[in-house]
Amino acid sequence: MLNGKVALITGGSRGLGRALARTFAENGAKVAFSYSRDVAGAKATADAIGAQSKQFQVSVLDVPATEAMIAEIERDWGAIDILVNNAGVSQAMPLALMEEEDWDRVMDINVKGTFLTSKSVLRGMIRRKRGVVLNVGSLVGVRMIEAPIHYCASKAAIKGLTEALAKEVARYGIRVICLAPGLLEDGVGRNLPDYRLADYLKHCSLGRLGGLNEVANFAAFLVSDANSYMSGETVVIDGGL
Amino acid sequence: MSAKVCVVLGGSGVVGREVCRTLAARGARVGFTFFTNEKNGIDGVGKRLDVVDVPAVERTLDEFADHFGRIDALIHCAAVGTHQLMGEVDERAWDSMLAINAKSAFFAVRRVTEKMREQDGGNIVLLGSIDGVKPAPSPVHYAASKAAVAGMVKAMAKELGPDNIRVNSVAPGILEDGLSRGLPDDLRQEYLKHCGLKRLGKIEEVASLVSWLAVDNTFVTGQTVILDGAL
Repeated sequence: MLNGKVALITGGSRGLGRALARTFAENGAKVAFSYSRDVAGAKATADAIGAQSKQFQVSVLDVPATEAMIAEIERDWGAIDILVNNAGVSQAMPLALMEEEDWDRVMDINVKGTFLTSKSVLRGMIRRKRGVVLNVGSLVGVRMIEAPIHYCASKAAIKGLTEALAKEVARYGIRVICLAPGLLEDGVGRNLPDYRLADYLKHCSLGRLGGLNEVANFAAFLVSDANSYMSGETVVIDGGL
Repeated sequence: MSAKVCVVLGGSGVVGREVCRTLAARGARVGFTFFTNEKNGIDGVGKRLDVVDVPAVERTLDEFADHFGRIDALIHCAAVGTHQLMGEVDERAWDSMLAINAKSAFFAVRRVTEKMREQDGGNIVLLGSIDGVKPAPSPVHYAASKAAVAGMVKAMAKELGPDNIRVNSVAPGILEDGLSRGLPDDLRQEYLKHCGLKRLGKIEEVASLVSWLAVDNTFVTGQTVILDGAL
């Protein structure tokens, strides 16, 4: 499905990022990924990708390092066809305990990081008049769900950013899509207390958490050439919450 | 893994035919129904069916289930779209539109899920339209029928999820062919002005998403997925 494509995935050292990297590679893409801290996790992702992979310890907030990463990928592999803005963080905490630095950290990594990485990658995509950007949002950005407010705000921002960016770059034939998963087997939902998890599963029609590979398989379709008319859309994958 | 069995209602129309072709190309065993058109030359089992005839819908789905031994996916592509202003829509026109586009989907899903419950679940894909989910100048009875599809998809997903049956809709904007050809040109120009990708959708672009949801999907349910090139 992604034969010959070059993909860059941010936040690739664990969870959904690793599943995306592996699935994209299985579908024929050359996969590069970035991560901020987890060196051992990054190695595991590189192993999961297999023969051809590139990894970069680059924060999504570090523009010069991001630019250097893009330059290296495009020098060695050619143009980046697919960018997945997957890097994201959350913290389980109520409003009263949420300090300004907590707010800033979540909004910076989840939203500003998406903006900065997109801006850097899109420069080449616009010049070439092709490319796909997939932003990883969340069900909490589109539905009323009890969740940390800074995380909700950041994921709602991703949805808005996706729509406006899709409108702006569609004229260059570039598509921008937001994929919004519900709770997954691994990831930010892991820290939920048991009663919250039970309540979630009660309301989830399929009665289970999403598999990372299920989301990654859908993502591979969404960024493929077979999906060439979807843009600006936020697609929810949540088992029917 | 044995080939998936997919049944396409309205399989001889422009979209349905491409859906059948895409599914067959992916190795699925395809059953389809046709009404005004003849068999469509695809590699599959075709049956004539008037989708507003509920007993016939049920009988036909039973026949497909007997023939193939199971049904893994049902795709409802049967639809009409007449471009009329409200003053031109009489009760008969309203009833006919809702019967073909919405009521037939309900009764088809009701029947096929009896089979799917006995298996390990399945996928249902209904053809919607942006007219059912976004504000757009469109025939009111057509928009109502497609909004009915969007509503049904959510409630069906809730009711059928415990049986591992997923229900989704694909809602295209204006396409190059099919029902969209009947639209007045000023509407098409207006659409192109606001569509980010500045072009109409291709039939195969709809078919590829429909096929993915019918064959590959395991966790998306209750969704109406819009395909409109960033309108």
